[in-house]
Amino acid sequence: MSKKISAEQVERIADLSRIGLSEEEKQKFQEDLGSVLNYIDKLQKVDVSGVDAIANITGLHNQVREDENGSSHADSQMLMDMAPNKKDGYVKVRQVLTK
Amino acid sequence: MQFLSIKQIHKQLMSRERSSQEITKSFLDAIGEKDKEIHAFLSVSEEGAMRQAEKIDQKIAKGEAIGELAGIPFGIKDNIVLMGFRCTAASKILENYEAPYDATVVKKLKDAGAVILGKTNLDEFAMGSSTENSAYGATKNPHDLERVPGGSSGGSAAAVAAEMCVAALGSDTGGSIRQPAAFCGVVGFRATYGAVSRYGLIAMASSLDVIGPLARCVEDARIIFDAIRGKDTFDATSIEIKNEKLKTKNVRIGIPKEYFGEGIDKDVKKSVEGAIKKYEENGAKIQEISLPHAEYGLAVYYILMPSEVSANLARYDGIRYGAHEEADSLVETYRKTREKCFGNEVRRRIMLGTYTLSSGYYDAYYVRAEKVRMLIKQDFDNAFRLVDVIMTPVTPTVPFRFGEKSKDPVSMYLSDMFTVGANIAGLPAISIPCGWTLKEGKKLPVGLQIIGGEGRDYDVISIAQMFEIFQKSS
Repeated sequence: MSKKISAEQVERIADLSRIGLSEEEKQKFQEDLGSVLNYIDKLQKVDVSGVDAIANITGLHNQVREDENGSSHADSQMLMDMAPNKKDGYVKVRQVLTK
Repeated sequence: MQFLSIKQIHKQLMSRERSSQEITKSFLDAIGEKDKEIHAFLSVSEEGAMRQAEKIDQKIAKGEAIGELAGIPFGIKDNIVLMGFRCTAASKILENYEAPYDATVVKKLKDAGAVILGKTNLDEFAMGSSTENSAYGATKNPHDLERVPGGSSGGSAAAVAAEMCVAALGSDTGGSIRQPAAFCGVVGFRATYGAVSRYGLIAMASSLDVIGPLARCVEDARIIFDAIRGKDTFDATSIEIKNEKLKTKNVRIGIPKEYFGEGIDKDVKKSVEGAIKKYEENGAKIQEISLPHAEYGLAVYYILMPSEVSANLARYDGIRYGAHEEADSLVETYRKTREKCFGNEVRRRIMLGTYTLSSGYYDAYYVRAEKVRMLIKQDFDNAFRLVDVIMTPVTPTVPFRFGEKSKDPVSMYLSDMFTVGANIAGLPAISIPCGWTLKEGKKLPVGLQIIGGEGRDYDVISIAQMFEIFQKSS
């Protein structure tokens, strides 16, 4: 079976997905993704000229409501307690911008 | 069948034959006895369940009116949140996640007085057809412990089949309620897309996900569907199903020839054809129909679903909640957390979806799939001008053995080939047990799938119920 997807592409997708991969896994995922891509390629045979793409299957459009103040369903302290790293009531993360 | 239905339990409660606490205790005892082997539950709340049962008993003692679901013991798939309860989606990344609110369906069950026993096992983030992808170990099929219960709602199906709860909630993105229901010999119903609010369901593929009941009989599934459905301001895609009239006369059944071809186990085919024959003998009109784009259903599914997965699962970053792996930079924190705490199938689908949505591939994959999705929906629309419901097998095979399909992802994906159509077209569909086959000395159940037109949920339910009546009278 020809390689549907290159090792470089797998690295690029993993990077975009923010997923770390070991060297061994890179090869495994290259094979797995390749076999699925081979399978879904059968859609290329379908004539879709003049067909509209479906956005919402039941045909609903934008659902709007009044912009009113309400209380949250979840307690804010409970939400904060779930963050692994916190400081002074804030969620703490590593530095985003570097010099 | 020896099980007690919701109505029978309700009658016992009302006549004070048994108390809610006695009933709850008997199911908790069943979990204690059987679940070491079956592993259908990821967590059980004895205390909470008994407390709720006590409340129901007090109401009965005071002579207050109680609904049909009051005191009914439930299992909830562990991708649906229950306030104050751990909700893992069977993933390491949510190992310590405690839900800060109730899903709308949970709130509705609680308001109806249901007793929630615990949370049931699933494939990680509902991605799989066997529960083998659960980070906490697979569930076993109660009919043969060497075989899978199906998935992803395998824990819910096994719990109901093994009588560890009366009914359970599951979610169905490509067949995840119906396929395990068929494998475990219970009823599983997915409604029209949007008929049941998904607020509080851990999202997998938002244009396909539906919550629904797994139960021992069609009537139980209907009672639960009645209780959980309805428009919800917290789910903008939710809709109201208006037609509640039950159809039982002059039923026209469509048999799509594309669903009875190659790749079906001959015993499965025989059982399903036998069930359809029962309808014919009882006056239904059987008609061959064609769904010409059915063969593309699975390919459409394996583009749309991973694409939506890659977006929905981007939220698991190890920062605000869930597991966290420390690293030198923010982006390395993300990478490491997601590498360590997502299983193989989840990572495979996120990466596949990232690829199909990436610049240069989006039109060729995603947009094209959305167009073929339209063609598949049109096929169904055309068919439902001729017939009331469509009948097919739920699965091409009987429950398979552990490990049989876990090496090759595509072979696992093929077990959804008959169920994905309803998801892609947003249609209501039910799986009901329609027969048994003997495989290597074990009796294994076979499921019949009944698919209805959009919003015709009650047609599907009433026509499914007819089969139970045929069986009782024969």
